[in-house]
Amino acid sequence: MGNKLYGFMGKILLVDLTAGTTDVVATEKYREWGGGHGLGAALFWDYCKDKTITDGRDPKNVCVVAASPFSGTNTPSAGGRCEVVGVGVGQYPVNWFTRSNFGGRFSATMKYAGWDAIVLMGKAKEPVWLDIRNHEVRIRPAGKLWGMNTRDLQRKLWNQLVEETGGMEGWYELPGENGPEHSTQKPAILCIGPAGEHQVGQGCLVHDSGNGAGQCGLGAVWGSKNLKCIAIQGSLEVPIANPAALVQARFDAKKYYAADDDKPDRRHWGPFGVPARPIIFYDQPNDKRRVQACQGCINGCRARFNVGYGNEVSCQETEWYTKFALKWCKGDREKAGEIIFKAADLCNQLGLNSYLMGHGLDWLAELHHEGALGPGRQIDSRLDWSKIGSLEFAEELLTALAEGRDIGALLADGWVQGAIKAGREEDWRTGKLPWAYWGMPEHGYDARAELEWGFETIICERDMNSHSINWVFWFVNLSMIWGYRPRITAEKLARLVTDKMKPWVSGPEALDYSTANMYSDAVMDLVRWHTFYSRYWKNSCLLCDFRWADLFNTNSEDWSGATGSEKAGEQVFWNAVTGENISFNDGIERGRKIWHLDNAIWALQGRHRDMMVYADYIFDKDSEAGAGGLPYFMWPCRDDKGKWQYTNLLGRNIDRDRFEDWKTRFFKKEGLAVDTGRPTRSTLEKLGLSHVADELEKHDRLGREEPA
Amino acid sequence: MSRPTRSQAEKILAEVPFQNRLRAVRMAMPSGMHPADMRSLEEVAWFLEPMQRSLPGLKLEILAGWIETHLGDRETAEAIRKIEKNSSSLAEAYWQTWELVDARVREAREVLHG
Repeated sequence: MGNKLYGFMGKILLVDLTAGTTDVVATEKYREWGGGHGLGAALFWDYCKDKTITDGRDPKNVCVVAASPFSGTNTPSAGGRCEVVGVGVGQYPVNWFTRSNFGGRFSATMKYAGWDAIVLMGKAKEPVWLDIRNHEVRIRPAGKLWGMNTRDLQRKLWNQLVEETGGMEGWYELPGENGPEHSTQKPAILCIGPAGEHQVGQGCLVHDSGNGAGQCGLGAVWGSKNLKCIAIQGSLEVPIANPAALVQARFDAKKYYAADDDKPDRRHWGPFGVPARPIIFYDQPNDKRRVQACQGCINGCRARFNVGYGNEVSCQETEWYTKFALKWCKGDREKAGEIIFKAADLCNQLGLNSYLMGHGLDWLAELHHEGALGPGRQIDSRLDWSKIGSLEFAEELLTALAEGRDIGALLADGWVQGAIKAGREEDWRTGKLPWAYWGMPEHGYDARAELEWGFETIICERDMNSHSINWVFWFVNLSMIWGYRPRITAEKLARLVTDKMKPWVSGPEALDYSTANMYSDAVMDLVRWHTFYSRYWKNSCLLCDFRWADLFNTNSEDWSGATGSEKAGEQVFWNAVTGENISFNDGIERGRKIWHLDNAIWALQGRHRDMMVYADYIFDKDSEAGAGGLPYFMWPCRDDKGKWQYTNLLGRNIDRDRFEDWKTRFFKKEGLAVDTGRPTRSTLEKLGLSHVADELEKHDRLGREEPA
Repeated sequence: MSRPTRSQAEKILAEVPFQNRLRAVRMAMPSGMHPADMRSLEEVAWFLEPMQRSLPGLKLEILAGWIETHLGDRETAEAIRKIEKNSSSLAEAYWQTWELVDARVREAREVLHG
């Protein structure tokens, strides 16, 4: 490493909400952790004095908001992501130390103000907000800001801060080294809405219009700390070690891997090289659309329309209400679209994670039809369920969930907890409430078919939501649905993907998800690679999941993806920004260390291997039953003669005994205690984490060493 | 297909009990498969109508069986089976099935309401 701290701003802000004070710590000590999740986990370790807590709303919880060296730079699809870590709310059986991240411009602005991360400790006596203008930080009373939705709050503060800082229309005054500086950039605000204030598990953090750290109830964590928002303004610049190399890498990424607008290839395969497109799941209101992207992004997955609603909504929030709205509107697409997009807007305004409703609302609707939910029923609800699908019902439902009223009171601590409380535990066990792992819903991929999704989620702490390998499903299956011969054969695709993972995997057999190979060491190594890749390159360096990892890419000459490549691999951007000289695999090793630190925190929280299981239905039922009308789930597999072909993986379950054996082999490979899955001293010491081992020993949570 | 009688048209447009609903999924890249369910042929038409941003996921044989069993419309069921057999792709089959089902719903409405 060089001496100068390139890519970082050099300072981390410590906020003690209980004492109402702030402090500064140098980033230097933490540079080995990269940024984002690694930095956040290391800071959590140092500043959370009681890491055995299991409720994110405990005042002892520490929440870290962390940028990365890429934040605020033009590294493709990385400049605007921001990571948040801390103990969560709403998971089951334990609220683990967890993570979420979001896009926009918050992390970039945090860097421009001179900060690499913000550590939030304690609990304010009264509701407050943080006002950060470059080096000046003030903890201010929230007053009437408390109670506002995320849109009104941001609008109010943007106006208020202009008035406070000079009064020139649209200009903000910032404290500079040589006197006041002026900017027209609106402050970047990260805030909670009513859901966070009411500390419900669906409470998320919202920034600008449609950027949200949704999973794991981190909005509830802020609400419990009486923290309404952080507003940041900055006028500094990010020091780049080798700006020319960074620009060259971006040009090379475009030249060798990106889509060519002049020669669009509609049959392209690979995430990095697809043309920019909005990630919305309902037809946009019309074609009057402007692309909206996170800072520095090449994708533009959100949009602004000329209809006045649905601006910047994206992904799941545009899907969860579709079927209900279509029924309510009797198939009128335009009317249903207005309801769907307005309901998505409302989720953002309330600061409510919509993901749970994608499967959860079906469950509630079913209970209503069965007569188990309604006024005075097993689950008492006074909402007018006969109006499900209407905008009026969406408003009632979402507000109730956000305020922890009616059905929201039952679900405030988590949906599985709610089902158990209501005497409906069986619904979760049988998959009627398809919450597959850690008290969270299936993401949309069946863990019995898409192995890495399930296995990785179990060895981590939440629905892993990382699509690097999952793109295989999409390109293969969409080809087949549209009637094209798959552009890449199964054998070639397996080779392309796994070549990127060497030396972590031995060969293409790692992508063979056939029933004969599903519990193999080869697949386990693929899961290890992806877990550690995600922990570092995605969650710590904050490369966006929609574009990275690029494991195959038909824009390149040999169809090999940008990931790890000499010209435009992750490490090329990293080295250009930071001045380090690390290899792609060095990054994966760092991800491994970060995962082991996470695992140590989970051990302190009480994790035992017996907790690391799917919901019963994943073991007891085959995937066809759970997958409804999905025609097939094709994946590269070898047949019993070793021949590669795309094979339908529906119709199987996870075998309990073989999965237990898989876990045992995983623990052995990672140097963990096989009886508990907990970290051992020898492994932690090899990773340079002996202080972590000491803490575990103090709490009697150190794993038993295996005999040599 | 033959024009339905009044009583057939009533059945074609009927809503089946909740427990007999047809289950399917909507596929949205990259968030995955999301559950969907339908209780009438009209809802099947809404579900299958092509969208730019997502795809239906539905086994056509199951759809045909559901129409036959719960709506008593053997002709439509057979027509869907033929579509499935002869289409060059699932997407084309969905498209043709949507056109077929939509037309059948309109026809049944005409029979009932003129």
